[in-house]
Amino acid sequence: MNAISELPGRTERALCQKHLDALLDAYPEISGALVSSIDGFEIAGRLRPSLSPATLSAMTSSQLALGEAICGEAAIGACLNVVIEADQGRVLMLDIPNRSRKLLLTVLCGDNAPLGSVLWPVRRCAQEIGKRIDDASA
Amino acid sequence: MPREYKLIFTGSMGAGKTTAIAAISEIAPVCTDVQNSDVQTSNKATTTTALDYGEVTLEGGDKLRLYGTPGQARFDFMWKILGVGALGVVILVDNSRPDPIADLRDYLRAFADVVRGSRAVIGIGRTDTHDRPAIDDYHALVESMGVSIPVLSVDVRRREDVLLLLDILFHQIEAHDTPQADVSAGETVQ
Repeated sequence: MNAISELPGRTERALCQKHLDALLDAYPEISGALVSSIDGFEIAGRLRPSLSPATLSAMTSSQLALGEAICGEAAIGACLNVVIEADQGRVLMLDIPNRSRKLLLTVLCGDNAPLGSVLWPVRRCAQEIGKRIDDASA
Repeated sequence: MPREYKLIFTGSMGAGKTTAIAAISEIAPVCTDVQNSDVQTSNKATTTTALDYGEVTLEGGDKLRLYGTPGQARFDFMWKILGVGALGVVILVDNSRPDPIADLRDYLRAFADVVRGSRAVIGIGRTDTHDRPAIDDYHALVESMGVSIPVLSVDVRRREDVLLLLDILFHQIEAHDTPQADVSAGETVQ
C-alpha cells in the first residue's frame, strides 16, 4: 500500500466487464455486480439503473476497509469477504486477488438463493479476474 | 461518573485528519487507509475510506472519542454516519490545495448541524509554505455564513497543536452552552 497507483486502463476495465457479464448471465439469482478500485472508484459494473455505481463503489471501499480494521483488531488475519444479509437480498463484497493493484468485487443477490451457492461462483469470478489481470500485466 | 464525548475530525483529502488523531490518541488509532488511485486530487500514497478512530482522556476522567472522516465527497455517506451524535467538529484545511476556501465552505455545509451551534474549530495547515489565503480570508467566509468559529494555523503533526484545537473547541462548546452535553468548565485535554 505504499505505491501510488493510477486507475486501471481500458483493457483491464473491459476484462472486468466481461467477467461480470458472464457471472450475471450464468446466475440469474445475481442481480448486479461491480468492480471498484480499493479507494472506491467504479471500474466496471452491471447494475439496475436505479443504483449508483459510484456510490456503491465508495460504500464497498468503506465497508471492506472497516472489515480489514475489525479483523486486525480481532487478530484474526486478513478480511476475506463481507456479507450483508437483508430482508430482501444480500450483498457480497470481497477483494479481487492480484499482484498489480487491489480491486474489489461487489455482488447483489436476491433472497432466493442459498448463500453458499452464490458465494462459490462469486469467489471464483474474483479469482479469475485477478488471474487475468496478472496475465495481462505480465 | 466519567462521560464520553464524540468529536469529528473532517476536511479535505490530505488535510491531516489521520495524522491529527494519531498525534493525540492514547490507544493505537484505528485506521482504514487504502492505496490511493486518485492521483489527480492528491499524490498521497494512501487515503482513508471508512474512518479513523482514537481516544483521549480529559483531566477529569471524561473520555473523548475521536472519529476521522474520509475527505472525498464521494464518501459523504460516511460523513452522515459518523456525524450522528457528535458534540463538535474539527475542520482541517490544507492551504496548499487549489481552492481551500471552497473546501472549507463544503465542510461547513456538510456539518451544518454542529456548525450552526458554533461547536466547531477550524485548523489551517501548510501555511508555512502557502500563506494565501490568509486566516482573515477564512474568517470572512465563516462570518459570511453567519456563524462564529475560531480559525487558527496549525501543524497537525505536532501534538500540542492538535490539543490546542481541542481546547479551543471545548471552550467554544462551553461558550455556546449546548443543551445536549454538559462539558465541565475548565476541563482540559491531558
